[in-house]
Amino acid sequence: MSISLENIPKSVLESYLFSNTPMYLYKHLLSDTYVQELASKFDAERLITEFNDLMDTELDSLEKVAISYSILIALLKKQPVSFKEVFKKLNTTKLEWAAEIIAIGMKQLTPTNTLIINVPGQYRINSENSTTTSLINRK
Amino acid sequence: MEIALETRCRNKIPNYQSNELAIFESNQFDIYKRKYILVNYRTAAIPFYNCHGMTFASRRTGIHDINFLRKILEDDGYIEVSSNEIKEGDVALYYSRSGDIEHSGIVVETPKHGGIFIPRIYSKWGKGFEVVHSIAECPYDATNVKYYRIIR
Repeated sequence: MSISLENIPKSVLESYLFSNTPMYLYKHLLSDTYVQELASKFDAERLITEFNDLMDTELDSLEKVAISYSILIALLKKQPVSFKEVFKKLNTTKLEWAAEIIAIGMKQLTPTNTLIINVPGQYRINSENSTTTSLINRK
Repeated sequence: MEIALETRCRNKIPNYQSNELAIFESNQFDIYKRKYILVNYRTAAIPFYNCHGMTFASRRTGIHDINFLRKILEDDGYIEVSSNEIKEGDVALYYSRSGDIEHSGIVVETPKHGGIFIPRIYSKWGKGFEVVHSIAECPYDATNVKYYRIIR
C-alpha cells in the first residue's frame, strides 16, 4: 500500500500554501495529525522509498508537494538510525525548502543534552532514547 | 538569489528571492479568494518576497529566518505598543503559541466598531497575494498579535 495522494487533509495543504518560512511549514506539519500518522504507520525505509518515488515524478500538484514535505517531516520525526546519512542521500532538489527543513529538524530533534549521573558501582544502567542520551558513570 | 540587506545597525539579514510559483499554486491561491471573502486582494500571487520581506524589506526579497526578525526589531529601534494605542503604519507580528513569529503585516486602519478594536492589516500570504484584511480574517492564528513602532 503506497501513500495516497487523495484525501490529504486541508490543514496540510494550507500549511504549505500559506507558509511564510520553512520554520512555519516545519512546525505546522510536525504538529499535524496526518504527519504524525505517517510517522507511526510507516517505517523509515518505506517513507524514504515513497519520498524518492515522488521525487522521480514531476511535482505538478499541490498534493504532491504537500505530501513530499509531509513525508520528509515524518521521516525527521522518526529519526531513523544514521538519519544524518539518510538525509544526505535524499534527492531534495525539487523541494525549495527541503534543506532548511532538514536543518531545522536535525537541530530540534537531535539530542542536545548529555546527562551525566553518578550511580553506585553495583548498578549498571545503559539508557538511550530518541531525545535523551544518558551516560552513566560508574564509581 | 540573495540581495544585500542590512538592519539600521549594519547587521546582515539573510534573505532570498524565490522565483518558484507553479501554476497549480497560483490556481490554489485563487480558490482561497472564495474562502476569505472580506479580504481586499491587491495583487496576483508573487513569489519573490514573503510577508516579512514586504514588511521589512520593501518587497525586494523574502526573509525566511525568523531569528533575524527579532534582530531587525532590535536594531531598527522598534518598540512594542499596546493594541489600544496602535496607529496606521505600525507593524503587526503574529506569534505562535510557542513564541515564533509566523506572520507580519502593517496596520492600515484602526477603526472602532462598538468599542471593539479591529485593526485592518496590509500583508502578504506566503508566496501568494498582497492583501488587506481585518486582523483575524487570514490563515494565521491571530490570538497573539503584537504591535511595534519605530519612534525615532
